[in-house]
Amino acid sequence: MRSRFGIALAALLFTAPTFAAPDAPSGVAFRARGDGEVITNTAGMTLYTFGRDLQPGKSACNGPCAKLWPPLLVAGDAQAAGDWSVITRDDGSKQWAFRGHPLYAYSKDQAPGHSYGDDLNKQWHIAFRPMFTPAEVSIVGTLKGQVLANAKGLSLYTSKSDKPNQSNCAEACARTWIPLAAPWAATNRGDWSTVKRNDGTKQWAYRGQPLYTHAGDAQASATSGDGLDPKWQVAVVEPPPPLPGFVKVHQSDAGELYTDGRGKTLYQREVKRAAGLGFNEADLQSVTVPRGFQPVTPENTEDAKPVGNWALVDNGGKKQWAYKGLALYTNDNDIAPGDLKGVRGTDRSFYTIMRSGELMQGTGQ
Amino acid sequence: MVWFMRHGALLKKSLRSVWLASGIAGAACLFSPAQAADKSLAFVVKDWFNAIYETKFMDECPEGLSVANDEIWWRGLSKQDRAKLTGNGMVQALNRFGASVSRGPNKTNVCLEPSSVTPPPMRIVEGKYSFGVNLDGTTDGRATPKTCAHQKFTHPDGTPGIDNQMYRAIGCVYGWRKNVGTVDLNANEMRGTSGLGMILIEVTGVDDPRNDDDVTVTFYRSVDQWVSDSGGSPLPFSTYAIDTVDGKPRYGDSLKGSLKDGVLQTKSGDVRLPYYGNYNFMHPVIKDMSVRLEIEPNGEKATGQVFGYYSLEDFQYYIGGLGGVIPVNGIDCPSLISTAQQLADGYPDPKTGKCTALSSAFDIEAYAAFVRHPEKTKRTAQK
Repeated sequence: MRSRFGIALAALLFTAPTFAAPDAPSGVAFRARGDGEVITNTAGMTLYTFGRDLQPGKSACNGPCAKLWPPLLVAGDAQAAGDWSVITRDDGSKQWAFRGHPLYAYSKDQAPGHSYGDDLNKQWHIAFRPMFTPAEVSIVGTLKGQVLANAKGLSLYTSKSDKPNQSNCAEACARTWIPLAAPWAATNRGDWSTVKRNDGTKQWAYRGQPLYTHAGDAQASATSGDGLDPKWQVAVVEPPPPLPGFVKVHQSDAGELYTDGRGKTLYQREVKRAAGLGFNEADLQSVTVPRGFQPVTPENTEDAKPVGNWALVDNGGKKQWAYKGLALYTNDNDIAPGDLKGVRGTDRSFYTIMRSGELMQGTGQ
Repeated sequence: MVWFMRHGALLKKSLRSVWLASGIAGAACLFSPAQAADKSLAFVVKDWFNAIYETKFMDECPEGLSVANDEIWWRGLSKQDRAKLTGNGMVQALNRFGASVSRGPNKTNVCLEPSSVTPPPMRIVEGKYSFGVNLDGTTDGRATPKTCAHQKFTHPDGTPGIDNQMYRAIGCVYGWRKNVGTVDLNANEMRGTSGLGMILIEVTGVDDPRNDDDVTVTFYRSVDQWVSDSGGSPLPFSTYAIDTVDGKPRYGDSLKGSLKDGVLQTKSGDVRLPYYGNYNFMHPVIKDMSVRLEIEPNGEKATGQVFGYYSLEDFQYYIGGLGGVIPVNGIDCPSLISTAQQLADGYPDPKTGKCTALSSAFDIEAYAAFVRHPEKTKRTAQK
């Protein structure tokens, strides 16, 4: 079996280093991302917040939950300061909270850089300190990565025709690429500056690049303007998570998903998803993987290296690729890239990994 | 659990296979302004039902409906086990599905592994009539190089020589009976709510939307969800984008056809279609497929039928993956799949000689739509 240290070492090689911050309590560190900072413990393990922590100063995760999600406990008599506060748990222990949200690790994360718990049950989310943005700007998740957006979530774009802090897009251009207006009283701060347009209005710029929305984007997180014209690109501040070399992205009838190098869709198996309707989880667990599913092993992935949430795990004495700790399979019935024959109403323990990070549409999960 | 909520809505569907009066006086408005140069009509398919012919007293199924997986399972149990595993009959078939479908050796799931058990004989359609068309060109269903010997039906309108072995296989299964079965209905509703597997039909090269003896009919997948009115019904003339990768459609097989008095009739050819329903993603290739669509006078809606040979492999995959639809629709996967194999009448395997496809007919209902082609709506900065 691959040692925990081995996994941790491999992950460290592909993970941004953490750093302490003067305003953070001891026991806490940060891992930089383009759109902000992930909060970690000093071992670099990702910390999370819990969506059911609704009562100020209280944790809703106790007992078995706290075993799976160990709280970040306060060492000694450390005191609250700034964004950091201390709550008292049901068992009397003290726990750190960031901006009022108690912090937890996830026991299934095996190495720094893992975030297996992110978005789990749509309740657990990475503890994150986002970058500063003006009130007119937000950050949204898209298939291109984390991108700058206006306050309504419409993606922002930059143009190679613009010069630093100068817009060259007016009239007809500005009807397709709509300048992101800044208030008249807006002032420069950090990476953010304002550009004075010819009509006298102000426009926000990020790192000197004037920002625009695209008239063709009808909904939040859409990036329809990206690639329409080589001069225009969506303002990505954090690219999508890296993929191992053998993983490709393919379009399918359910959206963009991950495949292996042959174009075969990657599936995860989690039997608890298939429980119900008289299916017993223990029975399902004891049933071997149904015919047609083949484990994704290092032998057929061309020496690809673990990265991010993609790792090698031990499965019955053999190494197998896994995503967020769940072993990966392909299905023999998938012939063309993007086929989804592994998804069956009669065995919903198999599902695919969508590039969007969302649960696969149409599996009823 | 979507399959709980079907019966009420299903009552509204009794007229789904009735073709509406022809005429296309108002159909000129179907022309897409964006495509006025190459005039076109387009439709988005809402409902897709197997065409099932039923008589008032179920004469087509003289022995009754087919026996379901659940019944086969509990009949094989001891009295004690039956009482224990069904809660003395109080646990509903849906909630004991996991146990009943795992009735193969070593708890094998018989829907995923239908050959793991020997299925009992199944009740099939024995009636004379069926919807459909003559697909093999024979009058008696004799074997040809492209077909296997089979029985013919007569259309309810008296047309002889109808091929519909799909109906023969599923016509006596509760799940496909009108007003009670929910297999197709559930699939239609899942497509409607998810926006997955939606078929777009585009008719191009149209000189006259009422009469044109040479049009091209192309089948795409929509990536957009239903656009509905405030009552939840599809809104005609809504816009749907086609599914593309690298600027090329992922679907896009075409058939030649014609329009006569507002009725679209295609010639036959092999067409790959998107399909999503009951948690199964498929893209069946229907061989020798043809379509007849009757467009309403106001041009908002079209109803009609799709005919062709449906792959046995796709059928087996679909039946085996129906999940929770199986126990509430009286289906037994092994016997239905085995029966379909015996009834298959199209495209014999060159090695075994056994046919690999079922002659079929489907009722469809579609709404007028605008099709958005990415290359035609591409915007660039006009600097």
